[in-house]
Order: sequence, then C-alpha cells, then structure tokens
Amino acid sequence: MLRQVLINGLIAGSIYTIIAVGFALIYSTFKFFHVAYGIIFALGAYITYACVLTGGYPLWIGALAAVIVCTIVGLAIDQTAYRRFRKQQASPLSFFLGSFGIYILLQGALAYIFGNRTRSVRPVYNPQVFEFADIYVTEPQFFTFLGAIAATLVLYLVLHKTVLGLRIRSVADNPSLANYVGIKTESVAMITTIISSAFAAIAGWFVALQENLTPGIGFPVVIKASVISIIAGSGNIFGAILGAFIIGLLENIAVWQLPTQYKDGVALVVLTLLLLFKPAGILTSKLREDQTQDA
Amino acid sequence: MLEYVTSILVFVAIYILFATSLSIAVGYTGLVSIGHAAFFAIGAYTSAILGTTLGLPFSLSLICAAISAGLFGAIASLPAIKLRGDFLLLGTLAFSQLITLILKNWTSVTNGDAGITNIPSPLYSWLNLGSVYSYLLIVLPITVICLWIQKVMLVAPFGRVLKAIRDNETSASSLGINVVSFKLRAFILSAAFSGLGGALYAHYVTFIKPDTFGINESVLVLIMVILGGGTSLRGIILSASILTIIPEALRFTYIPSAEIASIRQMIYGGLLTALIIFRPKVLSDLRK
Repeated sequence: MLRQVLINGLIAGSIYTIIAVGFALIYSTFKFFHVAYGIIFALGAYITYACVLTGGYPLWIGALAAVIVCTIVGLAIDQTAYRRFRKQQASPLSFFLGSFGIYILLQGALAYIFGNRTRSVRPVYNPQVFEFADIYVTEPQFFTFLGAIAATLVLYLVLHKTVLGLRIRSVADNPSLANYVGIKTESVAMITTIISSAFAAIAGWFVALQENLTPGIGFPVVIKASVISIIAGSGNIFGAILGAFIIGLLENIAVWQLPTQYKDGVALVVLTLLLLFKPAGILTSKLREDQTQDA
Repeated sequence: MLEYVTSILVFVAIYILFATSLSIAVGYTGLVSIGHAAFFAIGAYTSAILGTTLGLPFSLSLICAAISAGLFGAIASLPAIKLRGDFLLLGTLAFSQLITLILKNWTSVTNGDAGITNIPSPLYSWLNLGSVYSYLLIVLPITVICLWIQKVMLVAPFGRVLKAIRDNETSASSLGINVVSFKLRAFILSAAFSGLGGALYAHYVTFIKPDTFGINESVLVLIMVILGGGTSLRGIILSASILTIIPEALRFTYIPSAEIASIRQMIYGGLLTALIIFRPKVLSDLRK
C-alpha cells in the first residue's frame, strides 16, 4: 500500500510540476501571482473535453486545440490587464487583485458555457491500466510522468541555452537594467505568457484525461502553484519541481490516512505554515523586496 | 412588492455592515483581505448552531457570533500582522478556504454540505407586521448602532493611529506606536463586526450552507469597500447599496437561475479587474 501511495505521490508531483513550472516562470520573471493561470488551466481541460467528447476528435487534436486556445486567452489577459499594470508600475497587490478578478470572471464564463455539472471524458476514453507488482498505473498517469520530465527539460533548454532564455532571465534578474541594454520587457512578457499558457494547457489536458471536471478545478490548482512557488522562493523556477513533489507526496500520504476531502487542505496548511514561519521560501533565504520591511 | 423591496433593504443593511467592517482592515489599516467571507460565515454558523441546538435567544446568539468571529480574527491576524501586500492576500485566502473546508467536513457540528436549516427567525409578533418588515426593524437599528460605534472609534485617536500605520509603518513605530498591537486590534474588530453581519444574515435567510460564503462573497464585499473609497462611510454605504440592488435586477429577466449565478460571478470578477485597471490609484487612494 505504501508503495502505491508513493507512486501516486510521484504522479501527482508530475502533474504539479507541469502546473507549477508554468506558474513559476511568470512569478519569477515578473514577481507577481498569476492567479488567472488557474482558469487558463481549467480552460485547457474543458477544451480537451469539448474536442474529445463533444467533437469526437482524437486526443492529440484536443491537446493542440487546448494549447492554441489557452495561449490566445493568456495573451489576451496579458495585453488587456498585465500590460497596463506594468505601465502603471502597479504593486504586486494590484497584480494579484486584477488577476483574481480575471480568474473569477472567466470561471463564471466557463460555468455559463459548460454548466456546473461534473464533466468527464470517460464515455469515449477508457485508459489502459498497467500493473507491476501490485502497483497500478494508468496510461495517462504514465504519460504525465514522462510529460513532466519532457516539459521541464524543454523549459530548461530554452531558458539556459538560447538567447531568448537569456533575455527572460535578465528581465527576471533586473528589469530596468535589462531595459537599458535593449531588451524589450513587453516582448519578454509575451513570450513568457505563451510558454506559461502552453504549460497550463498541457496540464489541463493531462488532468482532463484522468479526472472529473467542474468549473472550479482551477482554484485549488492556483493555491498549489502559489505554495510551490513560495517553497521554491522567487527567482527559482526549477525549485518548483521539488516543491511540486513535496506537495504531491504529502497529499497522497494525507489521503492514505485521512478522508479524501482533506486532500486540498494539505496545500492550504502548508501555505499557512510557510507564510507564518518561512515566507522567503525553503530553498532561498532572500525575501522578495517589497516584503522585507519588517519581516 | 413592498415585501420584496423590504427584503432587499434587509440585505442592503447587512451588506453595509459587512462592508464597513471590512473597511476597518482594508481602508483604515491597509490590511487588504480577500477572505473576509470566512468571518461572515463563522458569525452565521455560530449564531445558527446556538439558535438551533441550544435554543439561545436571538440577542445572545448575536453577541456570541461577534465574539467567536473576533476570536477567529485573532487567529487569522497571526499572518495578517506579519505579511503585507499580495502575501497577505494569499494568507487570508488560505484562511477562508480552510474555514470552508472545516464547515464542509465537520459534519457533526455544521451538518456539512447540507447546511443548517430552520434557523429561528426572531418574529416580533407584537408589532403585528409580517416577518420581513419586523426583521428590517431589527436589522436597521443594529446596523445603525454598529456604524455609529465604528465611526466613534475610528474618529478617535484609534482610527488615526491605524491610518498612520497604513501610510507609513516605519515612522508610526518610530513614534512609539505598537504597530503589531494596533493591527491585531483592527483585524479582530473587523472580524467581529463581520461575524455580527453574518449572524443577522443567518437568522434572516434561516438556511445556510458552506457554499453561501464562498470566494465570491469575499470578492463582492472587497469591491464594495474599494469602490466606496476605502474609508468613506458614505461611499461604502452607497457602493454596498448599489452592488446589492443591481444583481437583483437580473431576477426580472428570463435567464434561468443557474445562469444568473454565473453572470453575477462574471460581473464581480470583471468589476474587480476593471477597478484595478481603470482606477489604478484606487488602492493607493485608500491611503489618502
């Protein structure tokens, strides 16, 4: 049983890795909580559902459609709201509230279009189950694990081996200095938005293949992504991988011992404890500038 | 029709109380909370449970609701006094989500998702009025008294100290002000008054469940405070009235009620973002 719990924790950690890395890319580059990320993720899941179940298209079409739609929505959010915030040099508080409003708005829209009923791709997609030595892993779970490795590897290569990545990292490091050497903050913002929205879409696709969908699925996801980003500390994208596996494992251990309803509570408790005792994160000791006044 | 108008007025009064309570934290002290529906819920549940299981009289359960919400406010203020800005928002969000989780799963006390029904509503039969009218006669004086208490406190040095902390924490503490103690008191007061509002709500609708006090309520009341200008009593009364009355207009359309809920959600979300985008000074305006 313990082995199954650990495997489930690893799989949950993989999906959280994909989710959190996309979120942490924005968090570490522009230093704000991209709350609307949760609704981009939920949208990805619903687009997959609509393509696969309603449209009857194969799974990969669903993934493609999810990535395209989510990227467009992500860019629209960036251009209508975040661009103005950057121009106004808004505080992280304004970013958070503005992004939160967009999240609420789009969740309402999702509920309006798809209804509040639980949705699932089960009627047309029945995943294969592999069994090795009393451990059960479904096909999408296995691919989630591979997907997490591939996605982080690709992001690592982009960030550390290309000029594009260098630009992103320099904006993350010091936006005004990056500006002086001719790096356009706005184009970096667009590129990071595209990458992060694609991550949200892929995560939504994986989740749609495994779980039931309701318009509210994005909310716990944002909470978890925020916790993971705080664990990693600002400016540490790949620390998010560690955070993702910590949350994934803790959740599955909790579900093993407690009723399943408490699963989402794990991230909330970790978040509260972190905010109380280590707001700077576990992997770094540097607090984000605007939080340092008396902490 | 008169009954309908009266029932809206009851909600207006309750939301005015709720919004002014939040403004003690957000407007005066600069502690922006996006989880205040949790205190509203704690007040509502405390009063409802005391009223249904112990048969406590209305007046006593109102007081207990305020006290218990205040106690939870003290717990929630642990992160509130330490964090600022978006980290504080996350902290209050986590707190409210935890409260919802407890309300949903502590079934022996809260009856879980099914909620609490048949909450006793105080009917003052000697007034010889329908229950809606008599409830307005109960809610209005309570709201007015609470607003008066808040006003007196916030005009007094207490309120000015809070504003000083909000505007510049460092210089406030250099003047010998115990910042932590004042933030703590402001947050507890804000929570207690919100709890009182929640109790008034519970005894009016007579049925509450955890989903009644979700994130939408927190957002709505925060919009009321921001739109109302943060510290302006008149502004908040106006914005709370408008934002309570306008969604009611949706009921007169032919949209099914499930879709109305989604539309309301879209309105609240859009409004919050629009306020932040088009009135960029709105949050710093709270500082004027």
